[in-house]
Amino acid sequence: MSLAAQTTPLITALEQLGPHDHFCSIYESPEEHYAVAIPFIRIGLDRGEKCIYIADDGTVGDVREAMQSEGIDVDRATRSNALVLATKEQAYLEHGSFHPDWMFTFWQEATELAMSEGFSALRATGETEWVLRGGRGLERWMEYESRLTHTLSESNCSALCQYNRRLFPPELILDVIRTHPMVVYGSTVCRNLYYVPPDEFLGTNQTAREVERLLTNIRERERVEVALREQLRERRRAEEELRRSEAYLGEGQRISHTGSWGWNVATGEIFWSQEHFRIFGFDPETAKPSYPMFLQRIHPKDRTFVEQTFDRAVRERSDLEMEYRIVLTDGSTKYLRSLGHPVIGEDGDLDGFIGTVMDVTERKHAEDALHKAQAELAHVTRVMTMGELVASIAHEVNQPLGAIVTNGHACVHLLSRDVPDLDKSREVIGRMIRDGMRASEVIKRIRDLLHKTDVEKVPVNVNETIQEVLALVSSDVLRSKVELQVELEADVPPVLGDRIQLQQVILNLILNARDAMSGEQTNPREMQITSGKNSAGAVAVAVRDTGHGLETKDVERIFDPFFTTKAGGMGLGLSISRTIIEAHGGRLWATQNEDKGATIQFILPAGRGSGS
Amino acid sequence: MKKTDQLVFVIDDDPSMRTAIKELIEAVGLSCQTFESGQELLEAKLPDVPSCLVLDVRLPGLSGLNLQRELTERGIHIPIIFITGHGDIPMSVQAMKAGAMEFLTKPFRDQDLLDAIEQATERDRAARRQRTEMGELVERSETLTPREREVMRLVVAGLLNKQIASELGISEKTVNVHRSQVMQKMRADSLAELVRMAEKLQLSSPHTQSH
Repeated sequence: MSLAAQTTPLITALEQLGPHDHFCSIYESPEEHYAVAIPFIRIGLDRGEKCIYIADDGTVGDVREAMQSEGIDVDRATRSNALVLATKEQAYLEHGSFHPDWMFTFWQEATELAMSEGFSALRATGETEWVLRGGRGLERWMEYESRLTHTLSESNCSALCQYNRRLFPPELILDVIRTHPMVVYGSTVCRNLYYVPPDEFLGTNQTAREVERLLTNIRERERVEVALREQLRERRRAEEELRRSEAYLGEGQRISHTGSWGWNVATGEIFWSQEHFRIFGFDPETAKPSYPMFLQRIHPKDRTFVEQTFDRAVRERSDLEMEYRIVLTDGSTKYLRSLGHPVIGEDGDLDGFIGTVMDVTERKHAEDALHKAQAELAHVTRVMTMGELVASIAHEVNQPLGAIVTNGHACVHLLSRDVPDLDKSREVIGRMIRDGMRASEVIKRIRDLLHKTDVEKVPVNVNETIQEVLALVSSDVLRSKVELQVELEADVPPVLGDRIQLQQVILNLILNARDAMSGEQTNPREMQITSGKNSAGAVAVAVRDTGHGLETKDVERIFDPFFTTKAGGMGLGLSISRTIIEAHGGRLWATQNEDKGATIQFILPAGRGSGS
Repeated sequence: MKKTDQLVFVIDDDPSMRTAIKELIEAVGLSCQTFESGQELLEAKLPDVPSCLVLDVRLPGLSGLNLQRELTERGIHIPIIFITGHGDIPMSVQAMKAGAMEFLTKPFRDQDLLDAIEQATERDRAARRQRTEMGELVERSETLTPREREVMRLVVAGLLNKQIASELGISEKTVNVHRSQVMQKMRADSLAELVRMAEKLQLSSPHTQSH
């Protein structure tokens, strides 16, 4: 099993080679030498072929080391006979001297053995420097190389012969080139134009046939080169195209603050675009993306949520969409919005996800600023509304105060009798305490409405909210000669919201209904406040009046800021109310009643919901 | 120890205030009956004793001022002490013009309310007495014959018997008989008393009219 095997053009070319191929590697340095020989072995092992490496005197150790650093488990491979590390004596010089026919028999037997051991083929490579040192029968070495091509073409075996160009004289290298149909040189695998078939290489009329072949090759070569140049131009154009498209993409990502990512679920491999690196504050040159590295940047409070979202998307093979925060090394926080789409392979398995991540920090800040401005506007209009209600509020406070004073006087009289009436006095004082509490409760409500507090979403019972507002305005409504009907459904579910802002909305709707009936009118002035649950389970509150009603063109305009039909109105009440309700995920609208007047109502999602 | 020969009615829609006023009134030994609205008072059967009404100006439904008008129209004469949450001058002027006894702003001093109650009750007592006297006078005057009524009108106008005789074309002696009959039927001890009675009955002299 190879790990982290790098794919290079050379490796890809080597992977094209297999049984029947006979080729040589002409190298100039040890690096070049191993860069071909070792992958050749590795590819064979990966494919379940039996591999024989025939080393020169004293090089077995180096070879073993090179194999291991390529990721080959040499011990295991040799134990299972998949790899044989042999010396030249064990192969070429088994009988003390070299003989081509013996070698062909050797290869034939070795191939048959490999097949009987269950390997798919035999793959052999040998170092050759020892050939230069001479020995019996080595004058037939090139004859052997030439005939080997033919032999291999008929057996399930491939062979790579290794030649050091710095040691072999040019005329020998020339023969090497002539005897191998394929040559690996300078990390390129070439189909050899100068290859000479064995019968020609070994035949008598060699020179004439070589001339013929060379001329053909020269003509052929020209044709090939033209084709190659065209191919090259084509490739450059494609590369240029790709570079440009990548540049556009990169530019687009930078401008839109959007990075892209890919994630291979099986291997855990992660791909990030340049912009993704930049958003996360990593250097694309040095950092290699990984899941732990990604998680480490996520805001601690969002980490679990992000992991759960990924887990669910993998489990359900579904699209994912989430917003989370990351914290950079300088302590700054970014708000990100990420989308992902599962990639399903042809086999139906989940291969991974591809997706985008968008830096929405600026949008988030703008939203926050908007919410803040809305809250402040809501506060200002609340204060203004309270100003309008001063008389009514004064009455609400004065009423219990008047009762306290009067009760106090009564007490003085009760206690000043010849026989002070203590029981009665206690009873009266009890009432004074209750009235004092009532006055302070009214003042607390006013203070809440006037006080500038941060918006705080908590479960709110709208019925209580309506009652709290009525405690402040009912006397005002009555003074306006309006008959008030309040019908609150008992089991209205709580909504998640800001108590004060919801009070403000209800207050605005009540005052709006009151004002709608402030002119001359013949029909009775009636205001009906209802709460309930609609069919979708949302909480609905409606305020209905019997006033002048709405003209069709005004049904939506009344929610525009500064639109007003009243002499003293600012035209902000309903606009603010709609903003508040929408910020709570609800809806506020007006309708003309069939008989008389108008109804303004809102709905809010019930329960704790998803919130935020 | 409670005075039951007189009664204070209280109308306030605020239960705390209503109870507090009742406590105060009862603490000084007066009887008190409370109502939530003017409508409730109009529907109730009120005891026929000297009384007064403590009335909140601002009431849901029938307002204090409207109740005042309604009572007048129904010929129910009861002195009214208005109380209000805040001093509303135009409203108080309107109330006083319509005959309110007092206009108090909450919270008020106990003595102000108690004094107002006492004055108002006294006024009602006097009015009741007056209404009783008047009833008797009318009853007596109705026993007079048309001729005796003529004679009484001329007598209280200050005419001498002789002048009356010539005016009516009868003898002076007959005038004298009618005159003593009038004094007896009207139970007047003197001419001066008869004149006062005539004033109350608003009998006017044709001489006065002819001037």
